[in-house]
Parts: sequence; C-alpha cells; structure tokens
Amino acid sequence: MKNVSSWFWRGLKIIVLAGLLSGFASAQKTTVVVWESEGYGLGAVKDQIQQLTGVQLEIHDFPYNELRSKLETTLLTGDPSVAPDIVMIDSIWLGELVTGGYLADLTQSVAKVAEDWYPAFRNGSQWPPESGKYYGLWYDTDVRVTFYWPDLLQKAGVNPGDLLYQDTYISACTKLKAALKNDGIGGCWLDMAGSWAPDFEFFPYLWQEGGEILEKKDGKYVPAFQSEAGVRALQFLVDRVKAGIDPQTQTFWGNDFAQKKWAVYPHGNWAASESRFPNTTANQRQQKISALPLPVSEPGKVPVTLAGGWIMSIPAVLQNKAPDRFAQATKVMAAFLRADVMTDYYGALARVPVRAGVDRKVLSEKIEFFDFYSKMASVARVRPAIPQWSQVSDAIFQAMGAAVFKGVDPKVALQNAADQVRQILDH
Amino acid sequence: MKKKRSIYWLSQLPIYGFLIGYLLFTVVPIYWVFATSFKPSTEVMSFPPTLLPHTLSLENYVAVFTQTHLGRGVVNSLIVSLVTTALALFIAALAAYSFTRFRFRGKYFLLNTVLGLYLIPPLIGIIPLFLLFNKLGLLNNLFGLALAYQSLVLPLLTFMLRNYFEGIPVEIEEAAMIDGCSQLEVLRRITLPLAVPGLATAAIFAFIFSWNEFVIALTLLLREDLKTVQLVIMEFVKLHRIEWGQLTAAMVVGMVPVLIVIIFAQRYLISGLLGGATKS
Amino acid sequence: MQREHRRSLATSSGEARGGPPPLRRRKFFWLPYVFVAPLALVLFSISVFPLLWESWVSLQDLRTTNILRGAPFVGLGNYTKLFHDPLFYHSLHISLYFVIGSIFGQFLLGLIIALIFHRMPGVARWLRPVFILPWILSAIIVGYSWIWMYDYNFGLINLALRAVGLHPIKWLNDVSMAIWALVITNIWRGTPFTMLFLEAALKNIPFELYEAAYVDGANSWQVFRHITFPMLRPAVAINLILVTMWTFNLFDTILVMTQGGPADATLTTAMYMYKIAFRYGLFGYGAAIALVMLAINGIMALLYVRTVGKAALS
Repeated sequence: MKNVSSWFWRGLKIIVLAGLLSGFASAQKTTVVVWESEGYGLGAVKDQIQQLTGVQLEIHDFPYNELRSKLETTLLTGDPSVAPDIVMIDSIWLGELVTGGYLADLTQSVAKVAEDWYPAFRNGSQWPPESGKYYGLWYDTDVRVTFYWPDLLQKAGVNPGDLLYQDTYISACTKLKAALKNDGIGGCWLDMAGSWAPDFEFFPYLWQEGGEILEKKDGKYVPAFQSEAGVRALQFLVDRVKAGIDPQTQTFWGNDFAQKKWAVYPHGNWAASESRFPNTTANQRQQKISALPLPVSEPGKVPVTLAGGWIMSIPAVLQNKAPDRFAQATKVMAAFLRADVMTDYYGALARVPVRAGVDRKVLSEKIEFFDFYSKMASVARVRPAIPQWSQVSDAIFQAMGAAVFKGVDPKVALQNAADQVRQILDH
Repeated sequence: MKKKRSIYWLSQLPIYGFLIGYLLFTVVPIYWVFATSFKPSTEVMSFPPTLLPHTLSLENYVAVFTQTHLGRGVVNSLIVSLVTTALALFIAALAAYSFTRFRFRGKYFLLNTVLGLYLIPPLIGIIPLFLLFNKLGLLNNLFGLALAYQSLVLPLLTFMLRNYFEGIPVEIEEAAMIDGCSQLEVLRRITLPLAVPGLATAAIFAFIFSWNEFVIALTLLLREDLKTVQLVIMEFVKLHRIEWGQLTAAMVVGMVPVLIVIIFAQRYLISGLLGGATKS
Repeated sequence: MQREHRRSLATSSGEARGGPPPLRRRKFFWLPYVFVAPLALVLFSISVFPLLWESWVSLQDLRTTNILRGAPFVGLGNYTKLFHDPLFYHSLHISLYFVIGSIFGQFLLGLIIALIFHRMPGVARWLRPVFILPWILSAIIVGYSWIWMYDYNFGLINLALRAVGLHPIKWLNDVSMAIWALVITNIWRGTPFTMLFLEAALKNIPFELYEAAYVDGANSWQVFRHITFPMLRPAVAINLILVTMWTFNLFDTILVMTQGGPADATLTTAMYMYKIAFRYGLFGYGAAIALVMLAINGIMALLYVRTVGKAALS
C-alpha cells in the first residue's frame, strides 16, 4: 500500500517536471516566419530567396480555413511574438484586415514595383481602392474559363464554337449529356457545391452583361447585383438547370475532369495544370484538352472572367513594434517580387502572372494555354475586397440556391439578397 | 416457467440478430478505415471500391511517417495527455476529497459552480482562452495546453472522484486517525491506495479526452513542431483533394493508443461509467 | 427544504453520519480550503474568465475590423439583431432535427442493448468493450471515418447499395440528406454512453420487484411496462437532459464533416456561432449567440435539477 502512494507522488513529480521542461523547450527563437496556404507562397521558391537574401525562411503551410482563423486570433492580440513576419492573405480579405489595422503600410516599398502590374491587380492591392496606399501586393492569380475534351465533343457531334454563346452552350450541353450518358460521362459541369459558386457561375456573367456587384453611392457601398444585368445572369443559371445541366453539390476541384468524367468543365485554370495531369508536359495537355472563354449572351459581348489570388503582406505589429523583423521581411518580399523569382514561382505552381514583365517564353513551355490565360488575366475582373465580403458573397449564394433549388424567380431572389446585403453593409 | 427448448432458441434469435447488426454497425466504419489504410493508393481510388484489400501494402504508413511529422505528433500528444492527466488527478482528487469529507463555508457554492461550469458550451472559450493564454505567455506551449484542458476535464473528474470517495467508508479513516495519523497521512496512506480503481478510471477519462481534443489545440498551438496527433491528421485534408490512403493510415496511428487503453483498462473505464453514473 | 434540495445535489457520506471525522478544528481549519484551492484557482481563471469575457463582448459590436481600435458599445443590440435573424431561427430548426434525431436513435438502441446486456451478462462481457469504441474515438477520427463511409463513389455504404442493385445516395452532399447523415454518425458515436448509463440504472432496480412479478405470473412485456420502465424513468430523464445539452453544443464533428453545408443544410446553432465568429469575424454577435446557447443549456440544466430533486425525494 505504501508503495502505491509513494509511486504515485514520484510519478506525478516526474510528469509535471517533464511538462514544465517541454514548455520551456517549446519557446524558441525563429527566423523569418511565413504563413501561407495550400502551397501558394514562398515555399515554391524558398531556396532562391534564401540565397538572394541570406535569410532563413520558416514556412508554415496551413489549410485555408485554418489560416484564416489563426490570422484572426493572432492579430487580435497585437503581440509581435505570435505574429508571422510575412503572411499570404486571400485577396478578398484585404479590406477587412486593413480596416482592422493588422497590415503594415507597404506603399513605400511596393508602389514602384506595382507599376508593372495589370490594372485589376494593382488596384486590388490598394485599400481603400484607388487610394494609392498599398498594404500588400497581389502576387498571383487564377482565371476561370471553359475547359473541354475535344474528342468527346466530336463524339457527340457538338461544335466547340457552340460553347461560346449561352444559348448554343445550353443546347450543346443537352446533346453531350444524352450522347455520353451510357459511358458514365457527364455533359457540362455546374458548380453549386459551396460558397465559391458565385465566382464560377454568377459574377462573370453579371460583369459580361455590364453589371456590377457593388457600387459606391455617397461614399458608401450599396448592392448593385440585383440590376437587370444580374437578373439576366441569374436567369442563365436557371436556364441551364432547367435544360438538364444538373447543379453539383460536391466538387472535386477538377480532378474528375482530368479523369474524363465530364466533357465540359467551367473552372479555374488549375483544372488543366500538371497537378491534375501528373507527369505530362504543357504541350501534351494542350493536345488532350482545350479551353475557351466563358459563354456570352450574344455575339459582340466581351467575355469576362473572375480572377482570384493571394496578396503578400506584413503584419502591422512588426512595423510598429519590431522594426528589425519588419526590415527583414521587406527584404524577403522584395526578393520575391523580382521578375525572375516570380517567373519561377508561376512556373512551379501553374499560377497566372499578374504582371507583364515575366519570362513569357519559359512560362508558355510550363503552363498550358499560357497566352490565353494571360490575356484573360489582363482583362479580368476582381471581387470587391470589402470587410463584409464573405457575408455579401454568402447572401448572393443563397439567392442562387433559392433560384436553382427552390424555384424562386431570379429577380425576387436577387432583390431579397440585395435587402440582406443592404443590412450587412449598413453596419 | 418452463419453455420448450426450440421456442427458447427461436425467441433468442431476434436478440442475437440485433446484436450482430449493431456489432456490424459499430465495427464497420472502423474496419473501413483500417482496410483503406492497408491498400496501395491505386486500389484506394479504384471504382468500384474493394471490400477487402486485394493487395496489402504499407506504403501509406511509410508515406505518413516520412512526409509529415506524425511521430512527433504522437509524442506531443503523449506529453500533453500525460501532463493533463497527472495535473487533473492531483487537483481533482484533492478537491473531491475535500468535498466528501469536510464541511466548510462555500462548499455547496463551489460544488454547484463546478457542476454548473460543466454546462458551458466549449465553443465559448476559444477566443478568450487564446487572449488569456497570450497574456500569460502560454501559447505555443504543450504545458499551457495541458493547463487549458484542465477547464474541460476537471468538472467531470471532480464529480467522478467525489462519487468514488463517497464509496470509501469513513470508518477506515477514523480508525487510522484514532491510531494517531494526521489528516494528510490518512489521505496519503489509506484513502488514496483504496481509491486506485477510481483514480484509474478518472485517469483514463482524462487521458482519452486530452488525446482526442483538437479545437483548443488548434487554437493555442501555432507552430508545426508542436502539433498534436489530431492536428497532424488534419494536415492530410487539403483544399482540393484528400489522400484517403494516407489519411486513414494517420487515423489508425491516432487510434492505436486509445485502443490500447481500452484493451487493457476497459474494466476500469466501464466500471467507472457504470458505477459512477448511478450516484447523482 | 432548501437545504434538503441542495443536499440532494451533493450528498456526502461523511456528513450523513452526523459529521466528518474529527478535524483538529483550531489547528487545521484551513485544510479544506487548501485542498480545493487548486480547483477553484484553475476553474475560475480558465473557465469563468471566458464566460465573463464573452458576456462583455456580447454587449459590443466587436469585429475583426475594430478590435485594435476599440469596438462600439451596443448594449443589447446584438441580442435584438439575433431576435430578427432568420438564419438563427434556421439554425435552431436544424439543431432541433439534429438533437431529436440523435436522441431518438441513441435511446432506442441504448435501451435495447442495456436490456439485453442486463439479461445476458456473459454476452455483455465480450461485446461491451467493442460497443464503447465509437465513444472513445476523437471527433477527427469519427468525422473522417464517416466522410469516407459516406463518399459517393468510394464509400462503403454506396458500395453496399450498389451491390444490392439500389441507387447510391448522395449523403453528405445532398441538401436534404446531409443532416440525417450527421444524425446517424452522432447516434453511432453517442449510443455507448446512453447504453452504459441505462445499464447502470437497470442494475439499481431491486431484484425483489422482479421476483414478485414473476411469482405473480407476469410476462416479460408486463414486467417491462410496469416495473422496469417506471424505475428507469429518473435515469432516463437525467441521461436525456445531459445528452440533449451535449448534442445541442456539439460542433466538432459537424465542423469536420460539413462545416454547416451544403448551403446551410447542417448549420446547427453551434455551427452558426462558429461561422459568425470565424468566417465573418463578427465576435460581438457571435458572443451573443454563445450566451443564448448558454441560456438554453441553463434551462435544460434547470430541468435536470428538478428531475434529480424529484428522484431523490421519491
């Protein structure tokens, strides 16, 4: 009996001691800490940057949602010891994070470099928009286009050119669905799988019709997507569903297209990249599949696409409370923003350049349809990065769901969403 | 009442049928995870999927241990779980003993508060805990995590140990005190050894809880090398695809310690749940 | 009466006998306080602080955009906003389905198994350790196991459906099925607890009652209806309220499996709070939701206390 209790105390002391020691061991010093997501960051060009700057990079890659929640919690504290040195943020978080005072003002270091940028991304890096103040730089993007398998279209007797105009797009899809059904292949993909659905299935069409998501009235943002243009865009979605193009509630992010489970796939350009077709060259991919701009409602309208991407920033706490770290971080950032380094980055990850001055020859060998993507990126539209963006986007997604799944009239659905958005923006 | 043999067996059939059905229901998802982890990646994504692995392969386990820090995750989880358990046992045992044997002012207030805290949705604590621990310098710290877990583990443990101590007759302690032992000695030499089964049960609960927890760990640990095993398992879930072969292998590794605990200590766990639950 | 009621929550064997062992009252009167000090310290700093913080925050319009500059005080503004929020009511709706579905399944299965185990202890010895497995697995493991089970193309459930010639089901990606898929997973996870709890309660039913019934010639169903069930009622009630509360608060498996989707089809109130705080960054509003959840829990706990009180007196 005595042994039991004395062992208990001994064991307890050892364990608590070990815990304390491990606690102290965990508090170590670091070099330049980078937070990024899903590989879209310095990880791809780590060696070059370390060579160029002589600085060690410690790269933390987090899943998307985790990066967001970690940013929220760490930036809450205003404490430099838990803040990273460089952080990659989704372009739509810019307004929120700048308004909250989390991001450092980088205008000095970045404004000059940004002159090489395409307008949409140069503006998208500024907050407030067009103010000339930079709190980060938008360094990569993706574009949304229509991908298809030419051999499948041929088999179904569908002319690829039909995919360019909305009414012929619908008839082409119906034909494809019927012809390929027995092979277990779907016709046209339609994404209603999550909150990103408006990016693929609504906003490009809204812009093509001349509409806007939000506009500024008396210095305040108000919803504009419920206009005639918006109704037409949403109507296109409803028409597609009515014609038998089934809205998908589960997405495989292009992996199913690569496995030839779909004939036509409007998606981001990663769907055609090497990540989906392992061990192929850009040329080989260009032989297998083809790409076209998203369909327009009538000949003469200009096809538009939506561009997303990542912005590289530095936490404001560093600028204020840890100037040494801030200086190092800007050094690393400047190294990354060099044209040659960025070219390597784009080549490694099949991302689309946001600037003109990259090595186009190298990239067109690595990235399929490179010229096409670049052209689309140079005229792409971007989403407004207002602080309440995720709420606005969810309200619009709700409207899409109401129109598609509950048979609500598009005009009514958009009006309801607009009322919601007005409330959201009022705060 | 005598029943004919054949009728008796027939009446037992639905019972056995039900048990087998529920057994399948319980075990099949776990089997599916195990089976997938031993399939080579080509077979994992084969369509239609195979019920039994056609080829047994360890490639997923190799990948899991070389591509991520799963081993370190296991070690981190072990540290956190052991520290949490030791600390919680210490705090809860002392308090439970006090609640059982002593009478003092504020006793019922404290006891009801402890039980009441049990009702707070854990969701509420994420951000405030982060802020508090940042102020205390306990972020990015396995010991800090163990401390955070106390708030989630202590109410239940105190409750359990109190029930258990009530089952230890006072007379034994009184006898010892008459023989000249101090209160502390009584606790140390008599009550605690008698309470070992109850303490074992409480320890198992605390250990399993800390091993399984991930939300608070996700919030309080910001560095890769501190990730607990549950957080490392989450790394296999990427935005655009999930490697099911590797994810299931990581999950199996994450399950193994808990399964070991169950195999060897299920007596305590079950008797603790069965015994402790009746006293309310 | 009041004292009795409090005692019913917290009886002490030492006290029931007319007093604790003789404390050297004057010398070590501080001992009990020392013993509970660590508990009180830890709990008040780590459990009570979040509660106070969230209460304070719920009275402000705190969001990611104004934390560093100071958030405006809005009093009960967040609560009035909540009162008019259709998505909040939607989440209560979903929570209702989730809770009732889970409880129904858990209790039905748990009760049947408890009865079987009670009658057949030999079988119980072997099956019990296996049956408690789902309860001891982590939310991550439970979540991903079932996502894999529910997978449309590669999951085991659709594999079985296809094998018998039925059409595969969309499970987690279908707007109407998703919540029921989560309910099934939750039943899987929660039944062991109810099973053990009820088994313990069954053990407490005095054997004499059964003996008397059998002597009087009652059959199994009558025994169940008139003896077992009424005697189980207090335990069932307690378990019911505990499980209701836990299921209502549950969010880890839902976070892992659907994050509230597709299209808010599985957005329980707990998930709604998570979405508001972590996706939209509206901490003040989220805190208000959390406190309303706490109030709902409190109401359920009050029911618990009433039931226990009744049970103790009966």
